[in-house]
Amino acid sequence: MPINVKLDDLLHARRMTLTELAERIDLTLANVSILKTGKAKAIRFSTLEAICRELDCQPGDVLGFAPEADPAKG
Amino acid sequence: MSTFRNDPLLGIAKALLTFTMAMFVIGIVSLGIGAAVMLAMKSAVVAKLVENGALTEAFWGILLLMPLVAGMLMLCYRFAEKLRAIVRTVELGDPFTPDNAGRLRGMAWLALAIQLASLPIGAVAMWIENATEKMGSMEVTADVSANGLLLVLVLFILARVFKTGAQMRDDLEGTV
Repeated sequence: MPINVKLDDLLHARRMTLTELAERIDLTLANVSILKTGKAKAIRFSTLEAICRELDCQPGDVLGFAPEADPAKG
Repeated sequence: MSTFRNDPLLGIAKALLTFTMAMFVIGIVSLGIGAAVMLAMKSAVVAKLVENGALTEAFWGILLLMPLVAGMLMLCYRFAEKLRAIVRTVELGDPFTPDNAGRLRGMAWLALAIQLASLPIGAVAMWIENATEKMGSMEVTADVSANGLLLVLVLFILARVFKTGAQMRDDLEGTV
């Protein structure tokens, strides 16, 4: 998926563990892990809001867009 | 997830379906035994039929009817089996799955096959009825019914509803 989640970098910069973030945003560790590994299909605004609040960042800092190479264009 | 686990309706449905399936199996086995016995005692059966005023050909008609009815019972068994599997998933609290969509689609095809199978059964039964007219005790009716065809339509629609439901649930599962 061309949307990537940059939670790892943000957590590293804030010296915060995944477990700690999960507790702060009131989400299970399993779900935060799904988000972090890019396996999530969608993210709720409420989740994004909680992450931005706890990590003191903007939605753009959490999510990134990297277009996939078009095989038709070679 | 365990909301439906103690639902008495599901328990009754499951028990009823299991009982019905057992009846279908008994019916199929009985028809098999009946056909074998008829073949083994052909002359005695034909003699009894003729004695009661039926045509000799009625024997072959009855013999043909038995596997047809057994086939129909087999279709009914498969239908009940799929329905019981769906009831089980409801009981587990997870009915919106692609498997159930497939089961419903299968049930729709089975219901259609049952309707179509009733045509030759009805025709053979009617022929036997005429051949044994003088015996006066046989009345068989089997034909395509509007309710049966409506059931086919409803099942095909429900299969699509479940397919969409499964997709929606899948999306929801991946939402964080």
